Amino acid sequence: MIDLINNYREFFLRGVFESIFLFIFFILIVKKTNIVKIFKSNKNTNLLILTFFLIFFMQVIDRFQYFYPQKFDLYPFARFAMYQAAPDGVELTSYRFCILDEADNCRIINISKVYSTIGLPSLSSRMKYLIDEFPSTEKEIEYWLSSLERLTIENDKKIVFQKIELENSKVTTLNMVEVNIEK
Amino acid sequence: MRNKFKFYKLSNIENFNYKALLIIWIQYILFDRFTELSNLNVSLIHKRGAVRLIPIDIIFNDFISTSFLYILKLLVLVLLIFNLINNNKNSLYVLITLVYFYELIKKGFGGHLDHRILTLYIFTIIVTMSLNNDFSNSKQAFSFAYLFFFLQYFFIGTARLFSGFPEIFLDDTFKNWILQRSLRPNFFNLQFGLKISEYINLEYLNIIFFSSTLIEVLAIGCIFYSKKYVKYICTLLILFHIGIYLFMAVNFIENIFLLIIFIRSINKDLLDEKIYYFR
Repeated sequence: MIDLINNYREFFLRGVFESIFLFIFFILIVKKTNIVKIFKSNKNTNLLILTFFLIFFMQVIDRFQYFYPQKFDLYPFARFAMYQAAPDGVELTSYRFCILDEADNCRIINISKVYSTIGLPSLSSRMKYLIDEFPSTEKEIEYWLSSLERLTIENDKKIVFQKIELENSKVTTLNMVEVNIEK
Repeated sequence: MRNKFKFYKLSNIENFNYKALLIIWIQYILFDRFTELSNLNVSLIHKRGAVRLIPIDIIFNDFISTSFLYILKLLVLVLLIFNLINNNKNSLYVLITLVYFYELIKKGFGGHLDHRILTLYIFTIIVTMSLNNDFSNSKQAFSFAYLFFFLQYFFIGTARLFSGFPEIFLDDTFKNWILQRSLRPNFFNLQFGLKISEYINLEYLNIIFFSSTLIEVLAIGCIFYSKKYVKYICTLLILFHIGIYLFMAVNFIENIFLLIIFIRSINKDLLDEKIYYFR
């Protein structure tokens, strides 16, 4: 965490200002509206206050939530933020799972459809992690590839995990890990 | 007979939002390809929340069994249908607990925690905990849940403004996000994002991006202001969600349903127009 704060100092400082703003907003809502009265009229006031406190708390504390893997979380409470500043810029990279037949023709497997249950944003950040941390993630990639073996047909030879890059409107593909299909 | 009919009608109206919430969950669970996870090695699970305390890798040998995943999914569905027929708070708590593990198994195979179901899940928790045992205060329970619902839009908008204003609304960040999301695989392999970034000027894209951020911040006003304001803001939010799906392939269908229910509730007096107000 300290490393992240040091590496992303401006991002962190902006976060401090955001937290101060949220705190002022919270005080205003409590002081200037009838919210407290409405909360008190419910039988489960304490639980409700605790829930809203956790929502606010995580909004302030849970910075760097897009970094994977996280050591700490209070699931289901997490910071609500998306498409916020990208301190490292937006990498125009992607990934692809490809089944190669004997003539090396690629049949693309749509991993986001096969494992749609995981959720596209979450699946994408996991795949980004596999690419960024390669080669230490090689074993993990092999597990993902092996799970797709059931989708192969007779003349298929290999399953490949590829990194895709877009540069100057040109797409390049790089084979990262491949597994042979066991017949 | 007349009174009985009136009472029947009234009870249905009062419970409409609660039943609609359950139907949103049913569609989500029903179409969810949850059992596909039995093909992934259990060592890929990144443990979160209470799952950190469960030795999943010891309980399951290499893979989570398909039957376990089927049973979990079926249990959630049965509980949802049970609650659709009966109003029972205890079974709602059981449902929330089961969904907790259901979601954590799924998200264990993913990277960061995305917001699609988190919003619906916290919304349901708030409704459940604030409902009376006889479900007589549906209006109030949903007013708390919608406070959270619009608060999350407000949080998302302010987070973006504080973290990136003005740079990300002036440079090519948004365009690159659209390109990146279109480059990555998505369910229907939509690639409208590549087209839009090709044909629409960067300035226009950034205006749309900045406007949508402002709408997110202003969304908190939906719980304070009049019907007219709610209609405009909620309609714009729905349009932005549709846009995000078409151009960035991120699905927020549950949020769209919750927004539609909110507009309907305000129109049909299922929620008070001004639950919260400035003193």
